[in-house]
Amino acid sequence: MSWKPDKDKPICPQLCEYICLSIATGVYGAGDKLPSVREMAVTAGVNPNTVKRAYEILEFRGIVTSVRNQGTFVSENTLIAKESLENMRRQKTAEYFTDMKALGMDAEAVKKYIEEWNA
Amino acid sequence: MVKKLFKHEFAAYFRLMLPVEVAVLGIGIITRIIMLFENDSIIFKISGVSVWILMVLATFAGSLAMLIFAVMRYYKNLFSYEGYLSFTLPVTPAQHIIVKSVTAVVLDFIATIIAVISLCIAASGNLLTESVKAGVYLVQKLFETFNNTHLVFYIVEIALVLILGSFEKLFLYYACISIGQTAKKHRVLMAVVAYFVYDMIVWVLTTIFQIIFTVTTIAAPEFCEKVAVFITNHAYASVHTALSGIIIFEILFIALCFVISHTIIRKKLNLE
Amino acid sequence: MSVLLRCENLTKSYGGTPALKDVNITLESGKIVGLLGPNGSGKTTLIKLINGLLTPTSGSIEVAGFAPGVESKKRVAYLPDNSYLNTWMSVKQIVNYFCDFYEDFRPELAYQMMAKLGISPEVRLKALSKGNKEKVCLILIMSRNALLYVLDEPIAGVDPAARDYIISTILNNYNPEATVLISTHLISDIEKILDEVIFINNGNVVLQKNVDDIREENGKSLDELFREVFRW
Repeated sequence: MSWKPDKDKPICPQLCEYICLSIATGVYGAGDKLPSVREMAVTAGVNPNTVKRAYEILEFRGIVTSVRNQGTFVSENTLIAKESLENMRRQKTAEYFTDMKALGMDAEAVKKYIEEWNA
Repeated sequence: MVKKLFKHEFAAYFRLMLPVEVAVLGIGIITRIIMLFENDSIIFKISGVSVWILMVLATFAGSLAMLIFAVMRYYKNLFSYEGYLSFTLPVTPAQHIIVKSVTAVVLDFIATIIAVISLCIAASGNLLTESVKAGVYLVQKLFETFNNTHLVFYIVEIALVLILGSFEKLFLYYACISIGQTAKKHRVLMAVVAYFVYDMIVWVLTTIFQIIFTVTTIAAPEFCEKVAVFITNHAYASVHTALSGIIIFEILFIALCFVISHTIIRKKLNLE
Repeated sequence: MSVLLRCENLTKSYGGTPALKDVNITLESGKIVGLLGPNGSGKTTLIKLINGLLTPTSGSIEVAGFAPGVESKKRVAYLPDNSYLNTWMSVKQIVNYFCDFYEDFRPELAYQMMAKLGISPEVRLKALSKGNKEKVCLILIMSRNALLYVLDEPIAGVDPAARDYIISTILNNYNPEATVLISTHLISDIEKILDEVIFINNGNVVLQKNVDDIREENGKSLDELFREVFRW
């Protein structure tokens, strides 16, 4: 897995974000079974309790559902996940603008930059 | 668990003993072969004597090897890096000590038998038959001279003395090695020192006894005579008492060494 | 949820010098816990006490509900930092050895893991590379169905690819009834898999906390925090 969490921040929320992203971008489709806690722990290289908590948080948010003795499944309704994706995009953009400000460019200058870059 | 310990202890010894015992038997066979060429030539006289010297040396070396193996097994398996495995097995220190000592004594006995077999092979033919005849004659004479029941008891007592003697020697080494382990550094050296200390104590005690004995004989000759008469009159009982006394002493000594080793392992163990 | 390790006012002194002072630790089942501290901090002493290789000077220690002894040793799987195996034995012989002494040992699992590494049962331990020998030692420990696994520096002196293998093996073997205690210096490799961490220094427990909580509170990785806490 190419996911490399930032060790400076709690890993569980980052894992939640990553799974959410995978669902929103279709890596896991609606109703698909997510890897078991142990499988996900090994692939992601994190503690199984972290995975368990992540699945619990995602279930609380309605993004996944856990079925007793069968595992954790992506909810039929992937809208919530897509909403999260939208939030992540906005957050990343906000971070980008903050970073660019630190490099001495305000919003207008950044937009011009992006236009030039595309061209 | 104890059965498993025995199994692995025997297996470890087998690996060590095999080359030695093969050599001992081999030398016996070679001696026999050389003896086949018995004649009066100088060549035979030299090679015959040499090979017999070699044979005797081999039996001594075999015996020494068994002692070295016994000490090595105790030290290496319990106090070198192997100790990390041995002492994390679900086995008590007492079980470790008992299994090692019993295995060592039993295999020492077997090694002795193999040495005897080797000697018999080397001496087979006339020399062997003559030796056996002499031995049988001695045994017959023994039974004729002594009362049967007492002789049987004597044999049992002497056997016990010898067996306990093997354990005694072994447990002394165990105790010395264990005492060495209580030191922070130079643990093997400290074990040797412990042995020397023991030796010194024995020497001091023996000298004291000798002095007391000599003084008593000089200062109280009538008393000594009475004792001597008593012993001569109750010859059988005296020998039994003496042998039993030795057996009891050996048992106590073994118990002391066992307690020392066991306590050190249980309380003072500190592997590198 | 059971308590697999309980140390109460545990103290161990050698002569007059205390190696561990009044240590109080509770480890619950289902966790992977890191034991972190500089050299000479008392980590090794604590580990030896857990395994019954040392006796406490005062205080108590309870492993899987038992004082260190035969019963606790049945339930503890210990991987020391140096190989303790007889090198003349073959892989098969050492597997049989473990089968003989440990009821909870699973030989099929051991052989399976070794096959994946291409290690044949007939090979003598002597003939294995250092990395492979370490992996075999780990496999033997992980093939036990123990309640407490104590790993002393499992990834030190091992190449990065082997470290990944070792970390995966630890995760794959996760058992919610059991606890894994990992003592190490190499924090950055291992911090992602830890639930909790115990920082130990000069024989005292400085910190015992959930790792994500530490990240949340300090805004730092465990590796960075360690460097700060144990700065010379």
